[in-house]
Amino acid sequence: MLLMAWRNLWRNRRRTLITLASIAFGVLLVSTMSGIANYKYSEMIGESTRMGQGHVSIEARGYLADPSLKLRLDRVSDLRRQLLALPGVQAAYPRLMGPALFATAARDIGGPFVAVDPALENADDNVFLRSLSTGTLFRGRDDALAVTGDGLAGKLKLRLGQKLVVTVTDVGGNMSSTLLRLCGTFHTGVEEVDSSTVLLPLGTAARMLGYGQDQASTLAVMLADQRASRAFAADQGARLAPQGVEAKPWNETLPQVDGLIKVDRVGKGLIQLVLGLMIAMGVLNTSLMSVIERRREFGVMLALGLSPLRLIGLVLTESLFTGLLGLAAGVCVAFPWMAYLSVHGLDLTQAVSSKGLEVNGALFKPVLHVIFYPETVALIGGVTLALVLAAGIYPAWKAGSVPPMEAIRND
Amino acid sequence: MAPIIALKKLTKTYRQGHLEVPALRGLDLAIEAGEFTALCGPSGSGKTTCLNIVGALDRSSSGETWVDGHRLEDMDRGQLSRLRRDRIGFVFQAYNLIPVLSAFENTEFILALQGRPEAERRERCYALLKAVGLQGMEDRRPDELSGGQQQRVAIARAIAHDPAVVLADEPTANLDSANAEALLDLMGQLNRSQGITFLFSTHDARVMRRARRLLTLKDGLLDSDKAPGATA
Repeated sequence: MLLMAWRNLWRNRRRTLITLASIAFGVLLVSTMSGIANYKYSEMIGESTRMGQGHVSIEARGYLADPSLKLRLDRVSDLRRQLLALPGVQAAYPRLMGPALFATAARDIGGPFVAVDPALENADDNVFLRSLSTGTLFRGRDDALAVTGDGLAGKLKLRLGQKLVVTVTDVGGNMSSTLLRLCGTFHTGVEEVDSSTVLLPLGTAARMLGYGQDQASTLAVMLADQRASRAFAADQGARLAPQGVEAKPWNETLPQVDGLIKVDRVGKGLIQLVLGLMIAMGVLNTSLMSVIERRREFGVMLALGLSPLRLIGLVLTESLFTGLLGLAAGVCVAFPWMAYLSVHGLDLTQAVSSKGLEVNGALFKPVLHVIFYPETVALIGGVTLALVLAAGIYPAWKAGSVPPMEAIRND
Repeated sequence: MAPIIALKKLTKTYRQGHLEVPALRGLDLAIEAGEFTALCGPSGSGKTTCLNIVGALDRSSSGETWVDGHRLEDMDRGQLSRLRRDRIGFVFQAYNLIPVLSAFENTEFILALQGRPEAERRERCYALLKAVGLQGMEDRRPDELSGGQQQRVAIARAIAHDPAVVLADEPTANLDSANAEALLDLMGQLNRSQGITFLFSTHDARVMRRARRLLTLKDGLLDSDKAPGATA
């Protein structure tokens, strides 16, 4: 039966080749869309998580719902060491975040601060460090220095080396002011961030807020694969719950980004489904034509004692071969294109903006690359095969319903 | 001994829109094992309908059809399919070989459906193709064979599984005289040497002459039943 199905496929070589080409074209389009989407989501998640709370945020229970200064992590160094020992964890950064008033002789402006330990931070995982435009980052966690967005520095008429007074409300509810000097500015390209945010040394911020030296508001955990965030957060959340600590994946700390990705994914899925259905209709048409042309032959097989079920199996096997060959052709066509996009990308700078695209407070270069995960490849392959097989069901049923008397018709 | 084929008051009526067209009107017939019988009659006399019903390809409207001890009216689709596979051989006017299979593969088709072991299939089919004069042509596809050769493969396929009866629908209609004579020689020889029962529907005078029994249908009823006297 397999041999017959294979040979039947090549009875009308041109028709089969056209069908395979249409499947291959569909695979190419869907692969391109999925690969670019994966890259886009990865960049959005990466840039957004690097702004503050990481792929997974370890924090005191209730902090996400009500980010009060009273809710803080204790023994952060121990916790960090434990987390770093876990498989899949690339880094864990203690960070302290909150609102403050920034004042100079010229004016005062309210905005958020992010306090980091300069000895632990890595520019790859910290968008502010990567975006330093003037000066340097403070070197010690207790330095009386600050780095501000260049927009904020401009508004405050603040230049490198000049004084900046940072006022916060400490854990006791009292106002606490500290005099710092500007040691650098950053330019992320995101207007809202550059015109309001200040980067502080972790020890200095802890003192201002009345925190202990081994306390922080969050441990931002960066994972080797962000897709593991949810599972990692669930595991660590369960492990740390007795200590009053919870773990939140980026989907929960950045619900806007998560929502944006979900909406985009649904839109992309719909387009891909329509594309898949169009190709499936083409396969259905071809398969049906081939079945109608072979009515007499099917009648003969049934007359000779082939069961209708086996005949249906024969036609479905032909569809399966068509799907597998179309998929293989699709891989052959898509692979070099994907390799090119992966290495060189699709540069849309001319069409969009040389500065980049801002999405939800994160900035992206307008160069589209592709990322493929094993599950993306499995999904494309599985859905393609399923659609081609589904398209073969009606023709197969039609073949199985041919009356065996058809064999004896002499026309 | 019971006849291999028995038709009792067999009727078949087709519907064409609101019209009912009777094809068989109470046919009674019995064919013994080993007979070499031709079924003839003008167009519309019921030959093909009779062959369809005896071959378990169609169902009667009333009456009884007995083939190799089975009453076909009592059998479901699956049972009829298995009966065709195991007990009936078909030879069609248009040969009806499966185009993507070689002569050998066409011959072994039914044996493969029956699940017979490969070694047995090989031995049987090579011997049969040799017997029908197609030795050396086993690997040829139907489009690489002449009409006569294709019909020989069809005969090899029809008898490969030792059927109780071979039904042939105008087997010589598409053949030239030489090929038709050769084919009749072959079938006659198989009938004599292996005792295979043959039932033909035919318009061909050559087949009628060779038949040992000639049944003539007219308006869905048996008009005459005679032995032409010719040897097959």
